[in-house]
Formats: sequence, structure tokens, C-alpha cells
Amino acid sequence: MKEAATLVNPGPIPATGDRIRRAASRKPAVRIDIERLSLSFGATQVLKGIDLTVEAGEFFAFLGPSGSGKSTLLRAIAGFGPAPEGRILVGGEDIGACPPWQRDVGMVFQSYALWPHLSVARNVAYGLEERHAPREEIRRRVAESLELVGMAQFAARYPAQLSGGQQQRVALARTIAAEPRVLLLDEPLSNLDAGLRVQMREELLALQRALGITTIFVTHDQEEANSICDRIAVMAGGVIQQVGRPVEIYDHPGNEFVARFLGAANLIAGRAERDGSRGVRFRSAEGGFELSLTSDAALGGGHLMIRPQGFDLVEADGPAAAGAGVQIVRAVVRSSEFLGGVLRYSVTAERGVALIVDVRHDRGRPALQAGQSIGLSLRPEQALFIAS
Amino acid sequence: MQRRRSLRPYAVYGVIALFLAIFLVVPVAEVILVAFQDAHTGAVTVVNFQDFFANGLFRESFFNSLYVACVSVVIASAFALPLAYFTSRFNFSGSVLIQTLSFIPLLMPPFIGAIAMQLLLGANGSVNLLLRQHFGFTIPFMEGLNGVILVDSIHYFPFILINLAASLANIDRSMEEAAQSLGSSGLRLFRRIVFPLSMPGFVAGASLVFVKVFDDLGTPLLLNVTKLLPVQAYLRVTSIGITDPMGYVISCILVAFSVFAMWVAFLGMRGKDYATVQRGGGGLAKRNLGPMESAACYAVVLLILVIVLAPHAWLLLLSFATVWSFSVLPSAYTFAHYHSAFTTAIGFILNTVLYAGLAALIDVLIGTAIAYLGQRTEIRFRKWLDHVASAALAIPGVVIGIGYLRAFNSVEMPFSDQSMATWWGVLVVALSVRRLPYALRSCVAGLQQIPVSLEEASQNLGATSFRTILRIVAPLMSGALAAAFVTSFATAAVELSATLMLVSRDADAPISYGIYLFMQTVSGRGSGAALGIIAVLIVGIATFVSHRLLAGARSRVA
Repeated sequence: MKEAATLVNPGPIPATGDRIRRAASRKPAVRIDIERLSLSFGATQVLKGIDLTVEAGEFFAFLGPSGSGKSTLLRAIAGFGPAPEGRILVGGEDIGACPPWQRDVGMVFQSYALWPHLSVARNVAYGLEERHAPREEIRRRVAESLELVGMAQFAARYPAQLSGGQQQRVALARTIAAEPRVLLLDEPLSNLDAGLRVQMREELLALQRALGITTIFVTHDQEEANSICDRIAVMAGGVIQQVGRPVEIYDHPGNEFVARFLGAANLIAGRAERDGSRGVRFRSAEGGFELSLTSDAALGGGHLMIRPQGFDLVEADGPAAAGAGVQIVRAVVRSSEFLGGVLRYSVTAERGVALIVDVRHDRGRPALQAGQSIGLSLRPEQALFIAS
Repeated sequence: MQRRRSLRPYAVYGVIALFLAIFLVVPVAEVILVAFQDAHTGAVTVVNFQDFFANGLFRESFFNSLYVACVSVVIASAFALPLAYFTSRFNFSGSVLIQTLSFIPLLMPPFIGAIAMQLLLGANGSVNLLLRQHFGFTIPFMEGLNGVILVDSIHYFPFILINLAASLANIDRSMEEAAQSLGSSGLRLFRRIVFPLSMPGFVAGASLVFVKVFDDLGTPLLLNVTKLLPVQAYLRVTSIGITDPMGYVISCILVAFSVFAMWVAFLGMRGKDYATVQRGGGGLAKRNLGPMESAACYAVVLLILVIVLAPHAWLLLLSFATVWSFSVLPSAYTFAHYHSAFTTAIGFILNTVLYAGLAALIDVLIGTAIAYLGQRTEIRFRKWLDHVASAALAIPGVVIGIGYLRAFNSVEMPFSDQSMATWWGVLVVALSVRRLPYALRSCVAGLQQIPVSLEEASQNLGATSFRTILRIVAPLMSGALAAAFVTSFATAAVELSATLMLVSRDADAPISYGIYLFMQTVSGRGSGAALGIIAVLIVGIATFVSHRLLAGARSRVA
């Protein structure tokens, strides 16, 4: 995981020397344990028995659709919202009984929540003032934090005079100036436009690596989570659906929801059953579409998942491609969608099964026409059976 | 894992609940109770209401009050509708003039203008003198109920104008354009789209005017019109005494009609807050006027403005007039009335500043606390404080006065032989309870403008909830709080109905009482007018300051 940091271009964040000195002077990173956490808004249960460990120094994401409880869980860690049942331990210490101001977990709000009546410098100094730090230290750490996010020259401005991206940086500086044990980020990039979002997420990662602070990042954008987080907890309906590294979850979704939520997927309901000695065979619930699976596949009822890029395009009437267990599915193109790097075809395969198939777009090559017959070759490891 | 809860919010809740109970709920409840009680046996009965309606004088007063309130709404609408329509519909250079000048009547409570209107439109007023000289006839503008209707509708029409103009300004232009693209235009478009969309504002304004006129005590008293319900209640209580059940029955009827009118306004507004449905707003498309149309608009606007501003002009003349009777304009001018206002009547002015200032302070403190408890805590029944405090809007000043007399008359103040009901401090409380709804709305709106995340960010960085209120909430609310203070101050400074009931001696009286006192004699009218002008200035300056503060607060938070 640590190697990943070196791959990221620290880019616009200046003062590398400062950052390292600062990183060295920080408190050691702590881990967060959440045990059987449940929470209700009135009669509605929003979190249902969450168990989770975030390792020290990890960049962790809560990923889920709106209403999944991810923000509620983050706010519960910070001490906001109704009191939950269960335990929250930060660095082994139960903080459940502490009011928000005694928890020492820094939070960056989705709306940034900069105070409009205080200048940038006063905003950043706030946490240190509340901790009764000496004036000289406040001055120094405010300057350092603003330097760290590249906002030093804006110290005298007021929040209303800053752009969205600048406000975002000030909000970050304000939180890290107080040197919290944990950094909580509540959809911090959702109010930025697309280009800035990509830049800011790289800066965020560089900053987190430099500080080495345990960080939880809430987002509904799987690309955001995949690109910068060490591990992800996918949430839905107040329950953690799956925890793991981004690639792990993408390739081995634990259930139908996770498969659908992380990227496009073909999901076909049906059963997987042992097929003599040769292996496992999948048969769809409707239409009797069949495919062979790898012999270690799960058995029983569930869904077959194939990512759109899992197919390779072959001639419709061409010979079966070489390779162990490669199967050919015959299909007819219905429509196509140009996504830039790839063309996404909606096709009707044998037995009326609807599939989406991604084909790399080569410059100048025309798209296949609707009604055209094609063959799709599928290597067995590209098909995953998810038992329910 | 129960987080430790602070007890402080509960303590604040308790103190405010107690205050509202003692100074609003109990007095009003007692008034209603007494109305339904047999005066001798104390048994529950409706016999008092039967007595009320059996009495010809009361019956007449009842229908007079209804008539006056309804006709005033109609006349006020006649003033307000063209002004609202012109400003929202046309590119009309007079719009700023309308918006500014039409607020001026609100600066002056109607009773102050009543005498000025007598001089202008009364039987021997300037207009009728001219009519008699040149045409040989007169118009009974101010005869009997006409006078009350005229004075009240001139003073209260801005309520309809403000609400209606706000409704019109909030209509999204695309609503009108959508109707046009579907084939609707002209009068049909107005009837089917513009009029229904502006209804909530009109209903809100109209019901406010109805309540204000129905409950007005000062104007009829000064115009010597006694056959109206508030006057009858006042006269019964001051002449026969606080044991007479008729004052309470009338109070009950006043409250019932106020509540009814508020309910109508609520129904009109409920689920029809069209403004928030659509983002943008921006009002209707404005079109340019041709020169003739423009001239016609100006003529209408100027006519209305002349009518509504005439009381102020005549009050000003009166305050400078030496002798003024049976002449179109005063025969000679003097500063003597201002001199006497600042010498003999300085006590009234100082009392006003003290009472209104204290009442406004109480309102801001309680208003802020209620707003905070309602929006930022989880206390059960937290919205009830807001509901109860706002209910004061439906309680006429006469009823507050009678209720206080009833509830506190037997309570002796320490260190004096005075009754609590006539102690000046109770007048301050009465003023603060009556103006609390206005201050409260300002405080609630001020707090609503502050996103909760600003407070959470503060707590997240280590500030306790109390420190957060001090460092984040209070500074961000300061504009709204100042506006609430000034609004309360300005309206409390010219309150008359509860004041008339509760002031026991001249030394304790505020300026509104002083004006009332002076205006009753011909020789005192000049000084009364001078005091009236001073009151208008106090309220005017306060209102101007409040607008500036609110604008400042909005620009900073937004």
C-alpha cells in the first residue's frame, strides 16, 4: 500500500520539505474499531450492526448510494447525530460517551462549513485557539497548514472571496491545523467541477500520505474511492456489504448489489450446478442460457456476473478460438453507445439474453451496425458466479 | 453508549415556559374563563354571551366592528392592488417611489393620524371647507364609522401591498411563459395563473388588516366612536370595573375573530408556498409603458400617495400651528409645541425609550433562546414555545390589558402600596409579550440562515456547544438580532391599547399615552401632534436602521 504513494504525483502541493518535517512531528496514527454499531432516526434504523476496523494510517472509503448510511456512520464517529448503540474505539479508547469537542477527530464537511465572519487565517486558527495553544504556536501552525494546502497567500481573505476549490483547501487546512488523531472527509469533492475533482483527489492522497493520518473518506462515486483509497467498505441499507481493496471488490463482488454498484456488469439470474466430472455449469432462470464455469465456482442459486469488457469480439461464424475452456456466445447487435475509449454494445445473445459488451475503440474503425451477428468469446475466469 | 446530555437547555426551556405561562397563557385563559363563568356563583355558563347579544348596544357594536373591519379590507385592497400590480408588471420609474413612500403609513400608528385626518377631511376640515366654499356641499368622510374605516385602511394597506408584492415577485417568470406557450394570454392568463399564484400573499395581508382594524382601540377612541367592540370592552372595564363580565365576553369575541382571521391566512398559505417550489423566481415579465399609459399610472399612484401621506402632512402642520380651526390651513406657525413636548412632556419620551428598549431586549433574548431550542436541540415539545409565543399575535392589546388587570391586580408589589397590574414593569412585560412574535420570526429566520455544519465544524475543532454559540452563532446572527430588537422597539414604542389599560399615572406613561392625553383637548392638540411627529421619527429611524442591519446580515451570510 505504501508503494502506491510514490506513484502519485504530488503535483500542485508545494513545500515538500515542510511536509516531511511536519509528518515526522505528528502523533502516531491510530486505528479505529467500530463494534456492533446501530443507529436510528426515530423509528427508522439507519445503521444496522456495523462491525469494522480501519487500520492505523489507512486511507479508507465508505462507498454507497445516498441513503446507505455512510455519512451517518461518519458523523457518528465525529459525535454528531443521535447517539448510537455499540462502540466506537479510536486508538483503543471508547469515545462513545464523549461530546464532539472532546473526540479529537477532525472532520471536513461536504459544504466546507467555513465561517463567513472569520478570515481564512482565523478559520484555520480556530481549533488551536479552542485548545488554548500559545499565540506563537498558533501563528506558526496556521502558516504551516495554509502552506501545506497551497493557500498561504490567501490568509487575509474571507471565505466568500474564495472559489470552491480554494474553500475546500482552507477547510482541509483548518482541520489538519488542529492535528486530530483521525481525518474524516464527508464527500469533500462533490461540490467541485469534474477537472478540479480529479486534481483535488490526488492532492488529498498526497497530503494523507505525508501526514500518515488515519483517514475515512465518504463518497458515492466508485471511481473516486477506487482511485485513492487503500480499502473500501461498500454500504447499502445501513449494512456493510463488503470490505476490501478496490481491485478485490471489483473482481470478486460478494453479492449482486456490490457487483452492480462498482462499475457496469452483466448479471444473469440462474443456478450453478455440478456437471458430471468436467466442472460446473450455469443455467439461467429464464430461457435456459448455459455457460461452463471454472470448477471452483460456488454452487446453487444466484447471479452470473460478467463485466462488459470480459468478452472479446470474434467473427460470428468463425472457428472457436483456441485456449482451454474458452466459449463462444453468439449474439446480435441491437444498439451501440460511444463512450470514448470504448464502444458499449447492447446485444441479444442466445436464448434472448440481453448483454452489454465493451469493445476497445480504435481510431477510424466504424461501429458495428444494429442487426449484425457477432460472436463473443469468453474465458472462464471472466465469468463469476455469485451465490445468493 | 449514552452521550451525557447537558441540562442547560432544559433550564432555559423551563424559564421561558414559565414566563409565557404567567404573562400570556394565564391572563388570556383567565379572561376566557371569566367570560364563561357566572359572575356570582362561579359556575360554567354561557349566560354572559346571551346577555351580550340581548343588549342592543353590544349587538350594534359587534356588527359595527365586523362592518368596519371588512370595509377597511376592501378599501385597503383598493389602495394596494394597483400599486402592487404596477410595480411588478411594468417597467415603471415610479416603482421605487411606491416602494419607499408606501411604507411610511406603517411608521405611524393610526391613532396618531386620526386627529390630523379630522383636520383634513372632517366636517370642518380643510377639504370640506373648500368644498363648501366653492360647491356648497360637503362629504362626510369622517362621520362615525367612516372615519375609523378611512384612518385604518390608509394606515394598514401597506400590509396587503407588502405581502402581495412579495407574492408577485416570487412568481417564476417561466410559469407565465409556460402558460403563454400553451396559448393563454391577457386577462385569461391573469385570471388562471397570475391571480391564483399571488393569492396567498393577498390573503395573508388582508387577514392581517382585518385583525388590526377589528382590534384597534386608539383610533375609535380618538374619533369618539364608541359603538365598537374594543372601545366597549375598554369602557366597561374602566367605568364599571374588572368584575363586570361584559369586558371578558367582548375580549373572547375579539380573540375568536383574531384566531379565525389568522386561521384563514394560514389556510391561504398552507401548501401554497409556491415560491419555494421553483428556483429562480425573478417575478413576472415586465413590459414597457407607452407615454399615455405611463401618465395614467403616475396619476393613479400619485393620487393614492397623496391620500395616504396626507395624515402625516397635516400632523406636521398641526404640530407647527398656533391656532387652527375653521380654516383650510393654520393661520400662524410656532415652535412652541415642540418646546413644550421637550420640556413638560419629556417624561413620556424617556419612558418610551426605557419601556420599548427593555421590551425589545426581552424579546431578543427570548426569541433567540426559543429559536435555538427549536432548531438545535432534541427537547420534546420544543416547538411548543414557538407556537405559544406566536399565538400572542392573535391576542388583541385590549385583551392583554384586561387579562393583566384581572391576573395581577391583587398582587402587591414589594416596597410600595402599588398593585402589580399597574406597575410600569408589567407594562414592559405586556409590550414584550405583544411584540415577541415579530422578534421571534426574525430570530428564527436568522438562525435558519446559519447552516448547522458551521456549528458542527466548531464543535469538531474542540469548541463546546456554549463556546460555539458565543463564537459562531452569535456573531452570524448579530444582524438578525439587531433587526429583531429594532422591530420590537419601534412597534412597542407606539403601542396604545394595552398601554391605555395598564398605565395608572401620567408619570409612568409612555409617548403613545401622552399623545392620547394631549389629543383629547383642543388646546393640547398642537403638543400632541409634536409628540406624534417625535414618535414617528423614533419609529422611522428605528425602521431604517433595522432595514440596514438586515441587509447587512443577509449579504454577509449569503
